[in-house]
Amino acid sequence: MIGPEKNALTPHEVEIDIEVVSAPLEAIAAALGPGGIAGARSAGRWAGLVEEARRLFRRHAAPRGLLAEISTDQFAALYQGDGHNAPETPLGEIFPRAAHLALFAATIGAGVHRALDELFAGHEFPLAILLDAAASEGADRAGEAVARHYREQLEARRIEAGESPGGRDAGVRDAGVRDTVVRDAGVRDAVARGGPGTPVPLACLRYSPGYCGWNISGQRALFAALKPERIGITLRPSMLMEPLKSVSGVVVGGRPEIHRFADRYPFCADCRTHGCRERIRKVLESGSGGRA
Amino acid sequence: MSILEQISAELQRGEEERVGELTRQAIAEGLAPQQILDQGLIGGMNVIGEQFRDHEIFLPDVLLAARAMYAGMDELRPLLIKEGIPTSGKVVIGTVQGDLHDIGKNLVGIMLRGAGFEVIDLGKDVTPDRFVTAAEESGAQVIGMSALLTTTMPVMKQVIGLLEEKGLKGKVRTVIGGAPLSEDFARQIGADAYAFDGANAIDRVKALVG
Ligand code: B1M
Repeated sequence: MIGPEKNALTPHEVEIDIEVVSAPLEAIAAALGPGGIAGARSAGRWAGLVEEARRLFRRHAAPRGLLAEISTDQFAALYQGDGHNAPETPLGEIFPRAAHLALFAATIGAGVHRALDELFAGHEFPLAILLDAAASEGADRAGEAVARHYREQLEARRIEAGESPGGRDAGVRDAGVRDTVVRDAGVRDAVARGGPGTPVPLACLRYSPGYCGWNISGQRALFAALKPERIGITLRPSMLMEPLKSVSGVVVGGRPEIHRFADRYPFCADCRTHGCRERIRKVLESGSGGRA
Repeated sequence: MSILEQISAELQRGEEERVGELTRQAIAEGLAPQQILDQGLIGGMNVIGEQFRDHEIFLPDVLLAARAMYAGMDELRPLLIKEGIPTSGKVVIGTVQGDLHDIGKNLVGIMLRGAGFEVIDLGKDVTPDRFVTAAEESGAQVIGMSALLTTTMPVMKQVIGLLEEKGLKGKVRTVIGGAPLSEDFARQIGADAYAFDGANAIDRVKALVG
């Protein structure tokens, strides 16, 4: 199968386990800015607070995800959005080369926000900041869980159809390909050598409105197509999603190389993190790399 | 070490219970509430603010100190109100209409309170009218606005426009902050100041009310 399916846009909810979106201590600590917790004078008192924040997160978070496949043509129209994208964007070049596209939205729900408001009102600032960090991280992990689910679906579908992963060498039966690129050096070598019967790696990466030249107003078209309201996410006129700890975008699946781009677009000059570099590195290595 | 120095030191260590206890003790010993506030609580928070600005300490230390400061303030507040003791200044803060990103705004509020300002926090999704009305009603000298989305930044200009319309521009000063904002944007919309973080917001607000 080459190119995203024609019979696209049948959204389905993705189950997300709370443990999958519960960030580890280091990830929460990192959100506290330079120095994190380790650098702080009061470092010794924070391990307990982080544990408490993680406990509160598990109690109040209700992760939900939504996924809908979309064809290249449908996505091309959707990507136009309100016409405010940068003239040239990485995603604009990447999606036409994709083998699979799926719109997604994910949230960790409104419960955490109520807990946060209470903590701030009670002047429990340390816990409030930690819970907020856990929730931000959780929303991102929920997005990642949906992307991972899509990749697993694609891999399973190919095994069923007797195709090798990546779609290029259709018809080549290859059991055990669910994790082609991941950690399997033998497979990676085989991919590098190429040749018939080679398992073709499938790499899925998220791209979101508001990043890398995809104007945030693109949320309008995305919401019209995906309808994340069905998992409790609404869009405000300002393009902000409610609950706040939510993410949206498109999962792009294909050969890892399609995700490679140079950060030389005009808007890259304003980017403070250039996090795309790390994501591209990861996707080339392991087939998933977070959001761009 | 005097009791005020002890309050300041314990606050800097983030020992909220000790700060509460010592503040009660200072009140019982008959020290003036203004003195406890200025030399004990705000004195301690000023040190924290400076150390944070100079990257000697990090956000976790500031948060524990701020919680300790509130423990002292809870003891002191009834007396401050009774004696009508003025604060360093009044600031109305909020996240602008359409935006719900409030963690940055909350941090700024914590830091400003720590520096002795009375902060009237309107929360998130605040309309221009609510900002201006709150400033008028409370007599605040500064409105602080936060936005994290490019789509909500224009609301800041509307607030400044409304201040102009009501003849309050210049009397009520404005400071803005949030990840997508810049000094340039502040100039473009006629805001009086831009602050990149909480410690910087203290400096900017002090300059505006000073
Ligand atoms: C009054 O005076 C003052 C003075 C100083 C003031 C002030 C007021 N207000 C703030 N300050 C300053 O002092 C504070 C303390 O130091 C600072 O406050 P901040 O609020 O900036 O800092 C906080 C303490 C920590 N910072 C943050 O919490 C925001 C960090 C970044 C990386 C970020 C995060 C973590 C998240 N996000 Co996202 N997120 C980004 C952010 C990029 C960035 N570098 O800031 C931003 C805001 N997000 C963006 C986007 C696009 C999105 N996000 C989304 C989702 C998320 C997460 C849920 C994963 C997570 C949670 C966000 C949250 N805050 O709850 C989506 C939208 C969510 C929604 N509900 O609609 C989504 C739309 C992506 C998507 N399609 O899924 C971008 C907005 C771009 C735009 N065009 O407007 C963005 C700028 C990233 C980017 N592209 O660089 C200073 O700014």
